[in-house]
Amino acid sequence: MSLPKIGLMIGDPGGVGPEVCVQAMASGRAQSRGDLVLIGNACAVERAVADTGVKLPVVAVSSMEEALNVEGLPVIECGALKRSEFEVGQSSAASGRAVKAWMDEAARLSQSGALDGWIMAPINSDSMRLASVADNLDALQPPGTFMFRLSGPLRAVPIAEHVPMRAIAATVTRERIEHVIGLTDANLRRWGIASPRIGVAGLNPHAMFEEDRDIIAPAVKAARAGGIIVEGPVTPDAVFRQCIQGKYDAVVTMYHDQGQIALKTAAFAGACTVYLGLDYVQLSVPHGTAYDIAGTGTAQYGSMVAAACTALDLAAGRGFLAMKDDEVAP
Amino acid sequence: MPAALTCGEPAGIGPELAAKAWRELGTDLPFFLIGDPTHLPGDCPVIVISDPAQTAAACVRGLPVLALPFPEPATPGAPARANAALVIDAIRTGVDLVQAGKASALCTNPIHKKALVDGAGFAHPGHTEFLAELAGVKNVVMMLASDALRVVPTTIHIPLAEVPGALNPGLIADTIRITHQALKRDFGIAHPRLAVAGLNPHAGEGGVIGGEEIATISPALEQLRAEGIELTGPMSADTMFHAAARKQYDAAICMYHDQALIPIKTLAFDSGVNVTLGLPFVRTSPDHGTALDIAGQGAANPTSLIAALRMARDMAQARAGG
Repeated sequence: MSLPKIGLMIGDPGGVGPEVCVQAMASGRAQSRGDLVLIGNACAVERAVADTGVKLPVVAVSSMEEALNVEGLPVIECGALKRSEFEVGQSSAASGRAVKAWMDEAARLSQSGALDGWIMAPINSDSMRLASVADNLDALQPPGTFMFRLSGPLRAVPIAEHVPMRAIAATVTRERIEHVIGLTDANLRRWGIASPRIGVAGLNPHAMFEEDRDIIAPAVKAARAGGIIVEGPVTPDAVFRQCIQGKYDAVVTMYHDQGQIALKTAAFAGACTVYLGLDYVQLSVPHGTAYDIAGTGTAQYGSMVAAACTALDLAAGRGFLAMKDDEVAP
Repeated sequence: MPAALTCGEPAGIGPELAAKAWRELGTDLPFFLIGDPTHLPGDCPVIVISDPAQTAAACVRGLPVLALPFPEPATPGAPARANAALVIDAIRTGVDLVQAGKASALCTNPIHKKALVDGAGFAHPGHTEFLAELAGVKNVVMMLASDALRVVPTTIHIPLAEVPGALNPGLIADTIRITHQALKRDFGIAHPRLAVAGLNPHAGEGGVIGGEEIATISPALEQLRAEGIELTGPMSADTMFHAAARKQYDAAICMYHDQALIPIKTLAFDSGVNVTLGLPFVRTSPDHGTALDIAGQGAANPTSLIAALRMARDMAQARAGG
């Protein structure tokens, strides 16, 4: 296939998103894997170029084809943000509106096949609220998708996101577990893992209580009968270490913190999130807009490099390549 | 003074671990096993002692064993009903010796609860509760400790759905007080810093994702701060265990089993140690079970038991005043 093409939506213009995007692109570390283009407004990119000292021209383009012929930093120009409408380090309605337009364009280009997918640089919940786009960032997650998070060899996808502990057991249903196992298996295969091995975490200590036995075990059994290589329920305190050691390609978890605690404790280089359930790859980076340091050019851009490498590899069906710390270090 | 190690379930990996631990620790860390010398691997030199005081001399030549004759041999993988009462006696003996000042600390090999229930009507939920009863204490706390992290679950082996109902300010406060005191007394930390996890994702995000942080956890923390205990929380559980955050506290107080166990086992799968806080003596154990499936093959990994013995020694020294 031709080289994969990934868009970097620059994120909230007042945050560190535009800075880490231009630095990741200027570093050239991901481009041996495929082609990258920025999605946003040139004025916000120029701001980041000035703040980071990147010595590349910003070139507004209207398509990916055009971007491929550009020397410098190509930006697919969309939305109508003006430089006077946002301040570095602050949220604004104009920023929220612009981010919404950029997200829509990134999704449209990905759906149409012009791009193989896109990466979402950090956006800001206040800007999105001010623009009346969304009350919280969870509302911007594409419907029906699940957040597949990875950190080095550890990969985990929860069957539900931000659910209060009191309500978690009710979200643990056989249908949902089977669905996420199936989705995980299908995506891992598409991303280039020929025979994915999936571990399913139990819900309770040592996976030895009612839900583990009556809900999770039958779901795993049904998935296995459908030809998926899957084990579970696995003791939650052991399954993540087993994934790190290579026993599983991914872990399906029963609640948000179960996987998040393991991922953020292990904290390998190159952490990012992939949305399961889309026809293209969509990723986000595991940090926020960091308004306190926006404009200083000091934000670490290793996460964006890692996300770009991962997105290009997954889009090309090359699987997860091991990334060394220094490859994705800022 | 030597540490006492109970034999645990003889049909499990306890005997071979004891032998491996002696080979590793030798005379550096004198300890004696309480159990049946015939249960030990044939290639392990065994010195039967009649008093713990003989340990220092004996451990030069072999594994010192305070002999407790069991009625049945140890058949790897198959606990003998008749041995169950002796497994319990070994624990009792260990507690007696450490209480009598003849052992510095108690380290326990894993027991197989079902074998003890079937063979001897063992009526305690586990080791820890049995030890608390023998010691005459009501509130004890479980800590998992490694070089990288110490964690304390406030609730332990209950279904996740029951955790919110099981938490209350009194339980949280007791857990923290016992931990705080143990960090000072047993770990030699003059001014312990504690981090307390929330229950819900993002610690409830101000009540948006669950209300226990506001209604249950914070009131307990306010009370404890007023008592002079240094703590932070309720913290978002997913961000409190990364490397930089771990440097900010001496122990993490968690609300449920896996909130505590996932981070420590993700970081240190083999070297975690189980510590019981709040007993009148030092007690540690390896952080694994009897592993009946691999017993007797010599394949068991002694890392956790060795770490448990080392931690028992260090804690006993701290308790004795350094």
